[in-house]
Amino acid sequence: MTMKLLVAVDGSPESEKAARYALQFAKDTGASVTILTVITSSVAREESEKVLARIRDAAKEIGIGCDTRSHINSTISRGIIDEAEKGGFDQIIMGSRGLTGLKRVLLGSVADSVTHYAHCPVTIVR
Amino acid sequence: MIKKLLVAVDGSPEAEKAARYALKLGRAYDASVTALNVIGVEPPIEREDERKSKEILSHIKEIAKKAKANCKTKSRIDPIVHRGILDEADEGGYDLIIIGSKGLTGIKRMVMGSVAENVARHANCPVTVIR
Repeated sequence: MTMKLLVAVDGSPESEKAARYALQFAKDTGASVTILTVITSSVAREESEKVLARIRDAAKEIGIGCDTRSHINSTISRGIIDEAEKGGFDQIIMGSRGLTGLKRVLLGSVADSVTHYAHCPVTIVR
Repeated sequence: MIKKLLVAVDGSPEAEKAARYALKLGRAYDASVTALNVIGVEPPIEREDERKSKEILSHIKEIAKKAKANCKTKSRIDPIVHRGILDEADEGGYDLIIIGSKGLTGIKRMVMGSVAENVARHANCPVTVIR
C-alpha cells in the first residue's frame, strides 16, 4: 500500500500519539508521511517548529523519514483539509482531541470538522 | 501493529468501499478482518432482517474471495447501530474500526452519517472513516 499520509499535529499528547501511529503505520505498509501544523498567525511559528522537531525525533526513533510543513490559516480544520486536497493525500491521521480539547469532549471540534469535510479517509487516533 | 480489524457494513456503496480498504489493509498487515453488520431493530428480529444481514455479509465474503483475502463475518442485533459497533469493537479487542462516512440511511447532501459520527466520537480505539 503506497499511500500518502498527512498527519495533523498541534503539540498535544493525542496528536503526538497520532503521529507515532502514522509513522509506525507508514513503516509497516510502505506509506509516506507528511506532518502538518496549522497555525493561525506567524507568531506561533516558533512553537510550531518545536512541535515538528519533536515529531522528527520520534520518526528517527521509529526509523522512518517524514516531511514536515506548517501552514497559516485562520481556521485550523480548513488548513488541514486544504493541504490534504492540494497535496493529493490519501488519508488524514489526527488525534481525537487537540490542545483546546476539554477532557469531557470526546472528539474535538477540529477532528470533527475534518472527518466531516475531508475529501479522503480520516483516521482518528486516541 | 494492527492485528484485528473491524469493518462495519450495511450494504451501502460506502460500506463496500470501507470493506475493500479493510481487506487491503488486512493483507498489508497480515491482520484478521471481521465484517460486522448490525441489525438495527428491536428484538425479536424477523426472518427478513436476518436474511438481509446475511445477504450483506455474503456479498462482502464474495468481494474478499475475489481479492483472495480472508474475511470473517458477524451479525449483531442492536436497535442503536453505533452502539452495536462500539460494543463489538470493545468485546473483540479490535485495533481499528473502519467505517463508511455515510450508510444506507444517509441523505445525499449530508456529508457524514450519524452512525459514523458516533463511532468516531465514542470508540476506544482508532477509527478510519472512509469516503
